[in-house]
Amino acid sequence: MDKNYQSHIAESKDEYHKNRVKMSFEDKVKVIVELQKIEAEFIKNNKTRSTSNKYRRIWEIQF
Amino acid sequence: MQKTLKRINELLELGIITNYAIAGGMAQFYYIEPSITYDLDIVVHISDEEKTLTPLTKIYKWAEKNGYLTEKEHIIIESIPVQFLLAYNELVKEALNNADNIKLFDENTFIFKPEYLMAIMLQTGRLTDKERLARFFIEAEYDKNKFLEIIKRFNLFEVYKKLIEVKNG
Repeated sequence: MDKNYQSHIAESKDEYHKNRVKMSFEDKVKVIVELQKIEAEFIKNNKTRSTSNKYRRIWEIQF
Repeated sequence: MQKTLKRINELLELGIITNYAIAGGMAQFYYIEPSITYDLDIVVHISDEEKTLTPLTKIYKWAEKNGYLTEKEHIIIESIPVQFLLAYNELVKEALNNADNIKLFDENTFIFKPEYLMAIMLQTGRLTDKERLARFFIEAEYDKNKFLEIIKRFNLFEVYKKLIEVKNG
């Protein structure tokens, strides 16, 4: 694969992650809740994933 | 989360705890990109008169009185599992005493400074902590001199050197 293309992807990913660091804490909490929803979906569809921790559930919070 | 912080502040107002700070993953995500977590770690200090063999009893009694369920060591406060932890060693005690007073969700609250969180991650040394610490080096704004001063005082400099050697291959 073209090395320039690979470094372009790496740079663009770095930029994306840098911007996410700068998000407000409130927006970061929204991301966390979204990630919790995604993981719940993965667990539902992938029986091999552990669900042993009872407190691992989606936060029902208002923004 | 505003409601959760409000209730935690109530513990201060009631004198059940004398000070507290957000620690663990949620504190880390204040400084770096967030990833998944399910709980909120709160390091607390309890006044000397309240110290017994079971120092967190008053918090659990408060939770029960307010109808908050507990699951193992977590108290579910307004939908968020909160784990109250005593400042378990000198480094954590110092982190708590130097916590920053900030506003989150319009609530006044306290959070560990990044340099202390990094030192604690170094001290704990779990795989997750090492991964997060690597992210702090890349993403967080922190005072490197202050971080080095802390880890030298708490005999963590050698651990740091080893980690950096691994990181740099």
